[in-house]
Amino acid sequence: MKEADPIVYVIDDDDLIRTGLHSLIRSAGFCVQAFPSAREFMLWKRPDAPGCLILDVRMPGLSGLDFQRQLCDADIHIPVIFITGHGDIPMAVRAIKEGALDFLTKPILGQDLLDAVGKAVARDCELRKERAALAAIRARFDSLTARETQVLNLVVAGLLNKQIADELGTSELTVKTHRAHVMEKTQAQSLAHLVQMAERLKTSLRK
Amino acid sequence: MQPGHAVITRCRGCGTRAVNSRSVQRELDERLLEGCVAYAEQIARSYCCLPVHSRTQGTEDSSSKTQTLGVSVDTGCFADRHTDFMQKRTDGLTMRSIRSWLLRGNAIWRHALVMAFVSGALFLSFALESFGNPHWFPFRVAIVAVNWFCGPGPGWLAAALSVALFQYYFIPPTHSFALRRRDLPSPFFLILLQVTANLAASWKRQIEASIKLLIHQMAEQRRTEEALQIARAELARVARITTVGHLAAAIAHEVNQPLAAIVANTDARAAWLDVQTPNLVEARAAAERAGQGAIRASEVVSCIRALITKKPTERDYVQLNEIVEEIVALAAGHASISAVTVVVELAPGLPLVHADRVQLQQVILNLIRNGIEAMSGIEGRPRQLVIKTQTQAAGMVCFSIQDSGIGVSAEHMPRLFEPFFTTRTQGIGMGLSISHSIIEAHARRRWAESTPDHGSVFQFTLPCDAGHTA
Repeated sequence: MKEADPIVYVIDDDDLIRTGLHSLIRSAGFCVQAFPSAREFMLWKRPDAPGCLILDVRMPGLSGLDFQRQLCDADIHIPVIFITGHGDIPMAVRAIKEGALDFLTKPILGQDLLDAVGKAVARDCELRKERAALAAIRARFDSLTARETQVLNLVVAGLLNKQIADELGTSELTVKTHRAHVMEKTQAQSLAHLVQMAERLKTSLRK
Repeated sequence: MQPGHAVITRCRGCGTRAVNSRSVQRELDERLLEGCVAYAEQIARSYCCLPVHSRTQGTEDSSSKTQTLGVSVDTGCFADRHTDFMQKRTDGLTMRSIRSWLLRGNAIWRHALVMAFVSGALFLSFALESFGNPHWFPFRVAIVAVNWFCGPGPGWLAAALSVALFQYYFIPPTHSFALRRRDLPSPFFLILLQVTANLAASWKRQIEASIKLLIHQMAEQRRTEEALQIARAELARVARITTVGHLAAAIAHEVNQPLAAIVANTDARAAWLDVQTPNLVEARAAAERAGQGAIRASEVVSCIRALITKKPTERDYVQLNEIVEEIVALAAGHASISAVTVVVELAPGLPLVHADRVQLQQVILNLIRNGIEAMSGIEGRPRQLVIKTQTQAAGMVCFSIQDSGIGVSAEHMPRLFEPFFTTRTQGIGMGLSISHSIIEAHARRRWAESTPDHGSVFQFTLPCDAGHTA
């Protein structure tokens, strides 16, 4: 599946800066969408494409940092590059802790910004791929029945068929059948592959 | 040094005797013996240009009492002071200085003067008598003059002598002291004259003293007022600088913002030109935006400079809307940090107002800052600052600013414009007071309305010239 063209979103209340950044990023060959405020960004129907968000920290109404948290809460995953007139350490710490990719202070050198944008877009592509893969695994795992899930958990925990049968109070043959179903449904090529997929799901759930 | 002895020496500078009268020295001695040290000092001072010290020491038998050793004149003083003093004395040979010299001089002199005046009057009266009726006009003059120059004591003597002489020489029967009943009023009139002259002299002295005091007080008051004026102007400047200081972060933002725009646009322009087929349209647009950014930065700088410079008040016809826009732009950074939305509703075609531009900027900036700070603790309702300008009847332009902050409580309301009144932990409480005085100076009203918990409205009106429209 071919990925769509990446889109760079710019949110800055200052007209001149917004158009300047728009022009600068466009010149580097990216598709750019600029918004004067976070509200307008949210109202805009975003296409399903990789991208990144260049966000001004200081804006009237909703500040950039608050908006970043809102995005997190709304489960919108997009790498954020903060730009600010005069950032201080607490502000930067908070932004990075919340998952910002970069924190640039104005005036921003064009090359710095383009580097950051390039990195962010690449990162987003990776993340999107990872998320897609994870979603596929989850879909496969979700198709298991309750009994199969129990068997799966015990297999992953490293128990032998005999021990599993003992644990669940069934015959070893039944366990074997369930196990074959599990391997088939999850499309695992080996036991090691199954364990790896289960682990990936678990860590993503923990997040 | 003998106790009670005045030591008066020659001035080391010019060699003249500091006190040049033996009688003064004697008087000093007498005063010292009487114990009137202060008076003795005063006498010595009035005759001498040099510092006078009285020396005292505790007596052996009772340590609590002090005994005056004497008054000494410090001769180690500079000669020029002495010559100055002597110069003044010779220059001031007016009636006034003669009088004061006589009043301070010894009694014999004064009484000799009484004799001289009275005999002069007698002589003149004789001369007048040879022309006609006996005339006691010269005696009146003599009594007044003696009162004037020599004081009340000799004045009484002159009056008594005049009455006696007049009675003896001019009232029939002449050359006798016998009195006839109908002639009585004349001598009494002379005595009455003496009393009146005396009173007049003392009144004059009192009036002089009070006028002097009054002049002194007026001068003092003027000096105080001038000092107060200077202090007030300085305070206003300091408050302006403090206002700017509070806004430092916002200013940094305001200057940095156009710079960031310039950098972004110049980088964009370079990028558009660097590609294989340069996009000249995009490059040109970016260059234009960079130029706009530069203009904006310089506007911010000049606005700040106007705020902090020490300029005398200059009234001119100014466009209120323009000032409001400038200041709103300057305070925008402050507003955005505090998450305040600024809504500006300016009436179009507002007539020009006659006011001082910088002072008006200061007032508006102060009101905006107050509004923003009043809303800093507000949660659960929008933080909104509404700034309006509008024309009013009778050639007035009204400016109003409404915040949705904490408002002003009724008990604080009357004290709102008092200097040093503040409800904030930071701030010196001068902002509103200075703004108030500026608006008062523009001869216009200003008032505040507030509903606690719903914010407050500040308004002021300025006179405008209907002939000048924007």
